[in-house]
Amino acid sequence: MTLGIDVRNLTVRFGDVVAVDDVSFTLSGGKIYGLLGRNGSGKTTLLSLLAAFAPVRQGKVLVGGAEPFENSAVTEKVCLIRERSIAPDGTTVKDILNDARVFRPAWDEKYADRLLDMFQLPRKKTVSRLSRGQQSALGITVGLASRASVTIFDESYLGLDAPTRYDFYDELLRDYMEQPRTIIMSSHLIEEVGRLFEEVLILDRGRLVSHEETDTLLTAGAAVTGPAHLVDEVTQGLTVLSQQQLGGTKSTAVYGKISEDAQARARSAGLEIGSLGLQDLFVHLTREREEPT
Amino acid sequence: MTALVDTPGRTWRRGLLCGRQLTVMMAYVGGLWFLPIVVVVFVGIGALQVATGGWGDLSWSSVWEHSLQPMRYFPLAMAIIVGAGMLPNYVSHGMTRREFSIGVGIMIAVVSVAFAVVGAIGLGVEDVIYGWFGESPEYTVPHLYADPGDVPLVLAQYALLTSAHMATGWLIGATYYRFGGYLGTAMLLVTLLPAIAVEFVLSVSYFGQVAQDGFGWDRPPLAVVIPACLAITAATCYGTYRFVRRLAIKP
Repeated sequence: MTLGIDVRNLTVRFGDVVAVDDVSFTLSGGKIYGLLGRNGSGKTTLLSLLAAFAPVRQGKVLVGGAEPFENSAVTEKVCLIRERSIAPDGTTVKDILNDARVFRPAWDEKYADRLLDMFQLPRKKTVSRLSRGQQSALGITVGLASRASVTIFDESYLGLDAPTRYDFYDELLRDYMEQPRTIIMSSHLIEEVGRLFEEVLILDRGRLVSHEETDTLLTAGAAVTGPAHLVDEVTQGLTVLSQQQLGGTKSTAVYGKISEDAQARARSAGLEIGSLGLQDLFVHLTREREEPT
Repeated sequence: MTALVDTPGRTWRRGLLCGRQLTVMMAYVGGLWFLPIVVVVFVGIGALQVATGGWGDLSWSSVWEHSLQPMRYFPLAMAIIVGAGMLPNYVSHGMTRREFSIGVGIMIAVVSVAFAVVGAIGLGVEDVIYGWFGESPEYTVPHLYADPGDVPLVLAQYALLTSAHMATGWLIGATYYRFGGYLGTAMLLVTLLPAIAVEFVLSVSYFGQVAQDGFGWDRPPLAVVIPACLAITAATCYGTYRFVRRLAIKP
């Protein structure tokens, strides 16, 4: 079962700080979504509201058409895994899994066991004594084995080492293909995890600055490489993100659509036009801009 | 219209599940660790008292009557942990605050009765052992009961005190979670009031001794005392639910 998500005019303030600023979007569900944003951009606050960790005070959040806060018909189908465990001291891995088994209606015990073995997690150890990587692995185990209709990983896999993170990405994809559901992942490791995303949302200082299908977003920019004067000619009028020059050869990353005609002419002139990485686009879209004085 | 609507039936069913989980946790910690330690310590003190023929004026005084102290302060401490630590944990598993509150209420009720039964059994066993020496336990502080045979009053005393302290512990834990260590500690002046109120109204054990001997307090009739204690505990639980029902889980 997959659930869609509707967020309408959502605003969250902490005192004078606006953490989420009039954000609206719709996720149709049944996809893997990437939520990107710099530190303090409002990602965790937004995800907390989707999972009913906090009440919505301004705007509206609907999951499967219903408000999630204090609505267990929704919350039992939404699983938010954060970077840090919130289990009280003395809680063991086994306790966490036992609670998940009782409270999560779609809990898959065999799958949880398999993930525990895969991550080599000790069942009897207290959570507070697990390494950061093991705590991440425990969160991932709970997140995947809960088989929740909406599964959210809020930077919860950052503690894993690189090989284990790749194992997780493979496992996530495999399980998602078998059990389609709505998955939202927030991350700083954009290049690494970007290949998983079908749609990307980018938050910047609490505002939603982009919500596109990944393929569409990737066409929003280009890297043009070739003789410097030709590169300058083709990229004229576009937003230049970065430039590198070696002798007469130049490589320029631009944000903006290069027309089909211009692309054809550039290629015939010997220029290479490639797509930009998600990370380059993210950096551009969230770059600090000087406030007008 | 959506099918994802909470119903009272679902809330109570999941609240019961939550209560079961919390009670099992308390049974594990209390039953496997705390109560055996209490029994061993008090049996040891009792054995020492018998071996030495008693201590001065306190010869053949009841040892088990003092079990009332750990048997209300340990549940108080556990309830603080539940209030501060288990709510975010359970919400992260998809429980609502309302379901959690029902679960805590069930846990308080079950644990209070269980501890009361253990208390009553302890008094009965003590009475039998003292009887082997031709003696009867002497109670040195006020109680609702006069002897261990007043089982309903023994159960009432233990259960009322334990439940009031657990409800207070839940409130304390919730305020610590919401306001942090400094403010939570400062608020103890207020959050401890339910337990103090029940101690005062019930007027048993050390507290009762101070209230009766020191302040000349006369305990009202039991028909007033017992409903009043239950009302204070219930109001504390409901107030804590109202306090946590829109509580945000911290990042």
